[in-house]
Amino acid sequence: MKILLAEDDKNVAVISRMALEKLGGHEVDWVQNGEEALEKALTNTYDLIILDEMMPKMNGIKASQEIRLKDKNKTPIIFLSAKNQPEDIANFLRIAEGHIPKPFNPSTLCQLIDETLANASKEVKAG
Amino acid sequence: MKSLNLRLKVLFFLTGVALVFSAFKGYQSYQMASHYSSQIQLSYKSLNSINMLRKNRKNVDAFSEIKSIQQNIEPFHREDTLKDLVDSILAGSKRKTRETLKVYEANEANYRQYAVKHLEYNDSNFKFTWGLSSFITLMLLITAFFITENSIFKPLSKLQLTMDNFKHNKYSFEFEVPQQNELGQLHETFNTLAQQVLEQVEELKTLDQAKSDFLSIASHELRTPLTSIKGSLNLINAGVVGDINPDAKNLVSIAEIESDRLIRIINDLLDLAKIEAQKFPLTTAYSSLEELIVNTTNSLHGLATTANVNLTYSPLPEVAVLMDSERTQQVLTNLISNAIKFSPAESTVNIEVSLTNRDEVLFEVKDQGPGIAPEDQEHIFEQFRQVNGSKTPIVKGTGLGLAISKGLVEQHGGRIGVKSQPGQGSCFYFYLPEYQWAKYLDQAA
Repeated sequence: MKILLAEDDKNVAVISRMALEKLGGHEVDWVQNGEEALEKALTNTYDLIILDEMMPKMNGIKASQEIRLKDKNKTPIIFLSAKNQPEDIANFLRIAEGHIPKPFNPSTLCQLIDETLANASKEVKAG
Repeated sequence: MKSLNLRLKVLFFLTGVALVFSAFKGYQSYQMASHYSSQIQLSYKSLNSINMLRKNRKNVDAFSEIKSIQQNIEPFHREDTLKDLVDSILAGSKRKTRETLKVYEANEANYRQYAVKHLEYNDSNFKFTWGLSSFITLMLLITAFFITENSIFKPLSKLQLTMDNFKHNKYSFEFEVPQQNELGQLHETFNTLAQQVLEQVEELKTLDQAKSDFLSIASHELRTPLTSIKGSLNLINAGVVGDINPDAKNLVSIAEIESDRLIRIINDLLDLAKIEAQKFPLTTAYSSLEELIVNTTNSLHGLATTANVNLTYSPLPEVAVLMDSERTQQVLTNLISNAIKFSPAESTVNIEVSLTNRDEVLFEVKDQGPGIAPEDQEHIFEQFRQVNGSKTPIVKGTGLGLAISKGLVEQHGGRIGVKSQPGQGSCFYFYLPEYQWAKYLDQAA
């Protein structure tokens, strides 16, 4: 899959990319804030957008709202975030297909992503 | 300040004065009426006695009666005239007697007229004065009544209502301009106090919010570096960056395990902070007790087997308990896994659930381990307390399990505790306050 990853912490980004590229065989574009994420999402086509929540310039929630408004492809979005309170998760799931909490296990990241996307499309078919 | 105290005291004083004045006037009037009535009576009596004496000069009774009349008669000139008359009767001079008698009778008639006039005057004077002071007294009392009603009891009950609302946390009330008297002062003091309380409430809300914000930020700030640490170790161990020698792999595994433990501690700490701030979200509903126990014991079956301990439960009452089932399972899991940790091989950990006569659900986890010394029992539910002597556990605890369990149970409105004697095993128990008979649950479903 072609994946857009928005993550402002360089170290976390390195690990996520390694997991996605080396273990999952995916192609990853990396940006560091919500603004750039929005830009890239609209100019290129991706199979999946992964967003962190707390980023400078534009945070994950805001970016996802903008993308939803303007993205014609309806690219699936997954939040990758340290915020794990019920209110936060509810907020994420209002917009995105899924939420993966940090810290995560890189070995299982790809599996988690596949599961999340599978559940999301099941819901779409059922609903 | 227009003192209510002063006003009422003055009113009461004046009422007292009016009453005393009435009483005094009444007495005075009575005296007067009495005096003139008796004088009139004496007058007639004296004439009667004079007649008797004239008929018989030797009439001792008449004579002594006249003597006593003389003593009581007033004013003095009547006494003198009477004396002259008596003298002339006793002297036997008929002519003098007749003349003196005429004078005496005329005098007495005049005097009686005068006395009657006085009686009438006295009567009307008394009626007027008494009526007036009764009226004044009544007016004073009515004034006092209205003052107490309007200036004391009405404002008091209004203040009471405001305070009552305040007590029930209805903090909206009007700061009226208080009256310029003692009640006003009371009202003013209350207003000041109320403002202080409100300020403190606001401050607490701000602090609370700050705490929440801190928890949220801390949560993120701690988890982000841990993501990188755990992630790096995990990728190395998974061979993603090439093979590593066994010793290196060992070290990396250790680091991975400990960073996982660190993550669990952080999660527990943040949970605990939330529980203590009473902001922990619980979703409570009436849930089957049987389901809870079965699920919990099933999930701990593996742990029990590995530790060679029997995990059993006694027959359960058929109830649905009002609880957050996930969190209650967390509490039970914590207590049971502790029990297993501390149980010797081949022993039994048993779960008993019963209904108390105070309509509570009592959960008990009993083990046959070494027991807990009384001095340790006090501290066991505190944070980071771990009792020495447990076997090396499969997964090291965070030291927060019991503290979290306590917080969760208490947030359900229950209480938690331990009964134990060294050498006689332990019984960890907790109460949950609400349940329903399970058959009603089915009916509703």
